[in-house]
Amino acid sequence: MRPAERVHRPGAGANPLRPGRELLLSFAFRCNFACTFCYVEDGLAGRYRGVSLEEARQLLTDPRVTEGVTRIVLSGGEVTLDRELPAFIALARAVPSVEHVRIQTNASRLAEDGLAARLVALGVDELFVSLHAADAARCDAITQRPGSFSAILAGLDAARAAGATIITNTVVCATNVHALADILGLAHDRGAAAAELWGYVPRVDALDARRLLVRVTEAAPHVHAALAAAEARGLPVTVKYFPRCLLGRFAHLQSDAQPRLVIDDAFWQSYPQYGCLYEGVCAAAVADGCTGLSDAYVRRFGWEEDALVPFAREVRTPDAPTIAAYHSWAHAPEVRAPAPLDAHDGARLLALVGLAEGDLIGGATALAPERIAGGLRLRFAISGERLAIDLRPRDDARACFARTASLDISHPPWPETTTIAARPLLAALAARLRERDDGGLARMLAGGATISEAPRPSAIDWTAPPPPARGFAAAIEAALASGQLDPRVVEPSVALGAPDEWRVLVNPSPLRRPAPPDDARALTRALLAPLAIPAGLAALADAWLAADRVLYVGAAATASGLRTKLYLQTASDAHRASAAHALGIALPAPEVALVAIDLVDGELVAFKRYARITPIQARAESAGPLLALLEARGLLLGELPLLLATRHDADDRLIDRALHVDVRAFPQLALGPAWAHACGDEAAATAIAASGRATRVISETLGTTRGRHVYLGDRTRSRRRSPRSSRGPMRWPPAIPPRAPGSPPRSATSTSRPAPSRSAPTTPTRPRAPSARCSRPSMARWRGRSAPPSTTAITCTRSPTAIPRCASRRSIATRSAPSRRTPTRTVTPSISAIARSTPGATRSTRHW
Amino acid sequence: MTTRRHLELARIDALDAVLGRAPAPPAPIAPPLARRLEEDARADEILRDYVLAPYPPRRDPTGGLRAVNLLIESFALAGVEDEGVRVIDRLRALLGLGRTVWGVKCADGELGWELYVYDPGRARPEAQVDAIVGALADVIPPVDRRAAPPRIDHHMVSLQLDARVLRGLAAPTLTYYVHGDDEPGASRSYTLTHGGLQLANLYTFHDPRQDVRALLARVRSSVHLGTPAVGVAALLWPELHRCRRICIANKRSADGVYWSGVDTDQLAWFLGRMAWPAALRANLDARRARYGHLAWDVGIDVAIDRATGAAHPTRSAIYATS
Repeated sequence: MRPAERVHRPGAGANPLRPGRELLLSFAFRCNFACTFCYVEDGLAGRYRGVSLEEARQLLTDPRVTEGVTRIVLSGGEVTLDRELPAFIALARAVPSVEHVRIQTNASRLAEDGLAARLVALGVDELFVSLHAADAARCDAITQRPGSFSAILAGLDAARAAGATIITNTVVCATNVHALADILGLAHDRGAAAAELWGYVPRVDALDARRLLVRVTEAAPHVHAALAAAEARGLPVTVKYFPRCLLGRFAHLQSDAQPRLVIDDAFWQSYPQYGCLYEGVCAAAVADGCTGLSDAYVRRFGWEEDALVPFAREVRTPDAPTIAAYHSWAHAPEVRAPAPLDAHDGARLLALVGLAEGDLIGGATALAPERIAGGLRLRFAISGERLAIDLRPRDDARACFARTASLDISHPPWPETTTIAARPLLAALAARLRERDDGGLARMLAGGATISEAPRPSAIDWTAPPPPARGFAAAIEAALASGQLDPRVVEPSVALGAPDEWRVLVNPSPLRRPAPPDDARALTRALLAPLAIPAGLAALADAWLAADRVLYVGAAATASGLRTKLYLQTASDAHRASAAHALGIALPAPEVALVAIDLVDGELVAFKRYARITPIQARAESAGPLLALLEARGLLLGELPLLLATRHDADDRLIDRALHVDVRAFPQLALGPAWAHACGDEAAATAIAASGRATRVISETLGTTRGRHVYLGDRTRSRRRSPRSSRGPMRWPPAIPPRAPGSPPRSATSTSRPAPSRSAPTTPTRPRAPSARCSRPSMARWRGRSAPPSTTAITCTRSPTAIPRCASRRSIATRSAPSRRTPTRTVTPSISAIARSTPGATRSTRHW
Repeated sequence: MTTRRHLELARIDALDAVLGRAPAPPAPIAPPLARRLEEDARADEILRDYVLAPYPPRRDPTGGLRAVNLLIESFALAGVEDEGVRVIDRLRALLGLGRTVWGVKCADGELGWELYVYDPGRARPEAQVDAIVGALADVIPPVDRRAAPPRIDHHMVSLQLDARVLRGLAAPTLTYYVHGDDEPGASRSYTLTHGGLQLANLYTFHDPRQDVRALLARVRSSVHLGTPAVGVAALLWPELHRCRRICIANKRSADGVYWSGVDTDQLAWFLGRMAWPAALRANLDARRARYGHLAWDVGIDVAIDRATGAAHPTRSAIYATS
């Protein structure tokens, strides 16, 4: 068995001439050579249009293309054959940020008529010269042009005399693999400042009919020898398209990074494919890292599974030698100095992206961010280096390494030796931002309006919540405005057939990380403040959050009343036992995943147990329209999370059951509108579809035509379409047009029954007993009490008969979070101030 | 074609759009062999792979075609379009749209088919063997199930068909598939014969990127692969390695590999590599763009040629849902 690990050495560290913020224009697919390995004549000429001078002008004056570009490379073919080359050079030089203009050439014409000097005079300062042999016979055999070798050498001399910087390029193939050291030696002797070795890319020779591929295990010793010789001469070399793991101590010289190439889109559809069996487990198989072997190679020689060894860990190697004459992109100065942020603003912006100063992410430590032109710069420290990652409003025309719904993620030049080490950071940060960005993050980050977008509007555009809910809505708004609450976790729901009902769930739980964990409890307190829940329950919620349990805070309101919900996760045995103990209810293991408490004016009116069920159980529970809808849309129940919610009154008597189906995995099916449509609520269907939110859960109360809901989740309907920023804020509740007198009812269900009364029982079969609210002394005791100290018992004095599992005194806070002090009602100043000043933050005195 | 990984970062996408250049006009599409109208894809339908796992469309399905069109085309090519379509329609009526997995198999230029019906947990009465056989009772000859055990805890059954079966001249072969607890994700198949159930294949499923060690171990342990010069590449073809999942199957006289989640370009390459009938390849080629939203599953059986001692593919198959 081969060794499991090998020291990982970052690549691209040798040659300071590349890569950079390079843009490669490809425009002249003709050549005076016919190199055996070349694909220009066979693979480019006549197939692709290249870039015309006019198109180049268009591109190079387009800031979307040129932003940050410091080097422009002109490539063909042999570009010196193109009479428009001077015009291309002039265009390149006219780009303000460009520091270097490079041409790729075989050098054969550079000595003619002072061409090298003329090119330098026009603005070319770098020549990327093909040099594939160290002797005339081999060179002429490769180029298939007698005399080519001497012409190349003369061209190199002319280039050096003209003051251009020379970088040579050697294609490693079966013809020259034994002469690589000599080739690099010749390059150095002729004034090359750096060199590149490229493994043969079989672009038009997928079966390697030309027999130019050379087995990497055979080539490796020759590559090693060449690199050692170059090292001894002080010649920096970069190796491309050769497995990094076969380069031994020269592994850090390997990088397959490429400049951005401007060429027909169709070019990419026939580019040779590369891969490695170990790419999923190898630290070098990253962007700009090692791409492995071409398919043509694998077809001929196999995957080399016994020779290649994945890199398993990352160790920083010393910097490669640099050349002072060059402006390595890594050391390019900032064009504009970042604008400093004060500590508070910096912390707030970091919080928006789910970070705090000092947080570890992807092996890097988060530092204070900075404002930059058009965006925000996040800063990190990793392995002694400092890195910056820039966030800008999304522009699909801009090159970047990742995008979220509203942001482009890119970075300024990094030290090349840090590039590989920072990949986990990039991946982790991109994942975190994608998770948090529903389309509004760019605007939230804009804050101080440095990002050139309109000021951030409210993420949730409430449409006149009923009076009892205004305090709750205001608390949510305040939390959103302060950046402590992510709009994605403010989840509205629609009660079908009840257009006036206003229902919202908020999940401030640290498990979902909508906000920094430290803020979750304060945030919950702020949200609970206007809901008039008993202090004991607030303390319970606090304790739950302290134990990292999911907790939703919800409210359902109409013009006449407010109903508060607390959802407690009981997924683990410990959670379940704790919840059962605190609430005095039975929570049979293991199926109960969630418990909900329904309160009106601080009194318990009902609670729900949510249990996972199988498709068979779901069918047994209900053959109703919900399952029929799902199956009609081609869904298999086995792939849908199913929950059966049993609702009980305060005395634990069953009121009704509801089936909840999590459909968030299938946003393309528009199941929310479909469910509303199936329930006859066309207005709701239209509003849900227009809300910009994907449906998270749909539910149906079983055995009745009432109680059908659509819960809208934390994702936009389609991130590929226009982000929410272009649609404006989400409006909630959806704007449902008023029903004209005499018009048919919104819901088919309402044709057979009167509109739900605010005080009507929730089910016709099990009306809520008037005494239900008071029949639970423990809940009554909670009302109006302040949070208990850690040693204070919250008693439940129900009789063993009524609640047999709740017959003893207990301490919620102590048992729920034994290692912590009992949370107090202390609220962070900003939130508490907001909550206190909220007009609606008073108790509702009306029953719902 | 899957873009090479790092070039996704290096290229400037949609250059033609940036420059305002008109794209090349699409080539005219030749009519299919099948008489049945081609079925258009719907933007809101669920796409599933050969284990009925849903997958996101690779691109916007608008204007695209359903995978079932290729199945129907294969029926037409074999001269059994009407018979094959009846099977599809019956199973759709019984199970719903997109809930039958089909495989088109090609060996020595001859086409055959296998239809797979999943019923994990055996929760769906309509997916039971009785229901399937009943629905097809007047379409194809019944399966002789006298030797079947009274109860088999299977998650899938399949019916193997060929032109003779579809013409009513032979009975289909019934195969049961059962899960094991093996890692990673093994399952076995048992073919129902006159003498009872006979172990047919052992399957393991692997993430080609993360399960590389297990994948290599499975391939290296093949007794039907020999010692090919290209090593495991004899079975793990590079052109298909950019896929979602790879299944390795041990069979009685061959070993198989299945690539799940390949794109339409890879499918076209595969059909060419395995010398599928030219008419079917031409049909696919002409509709590549319209099938572009789909992910396909393809597989081969590999055995040692006794004459040459070299491993070679003996059969190939493509899979999708109807």
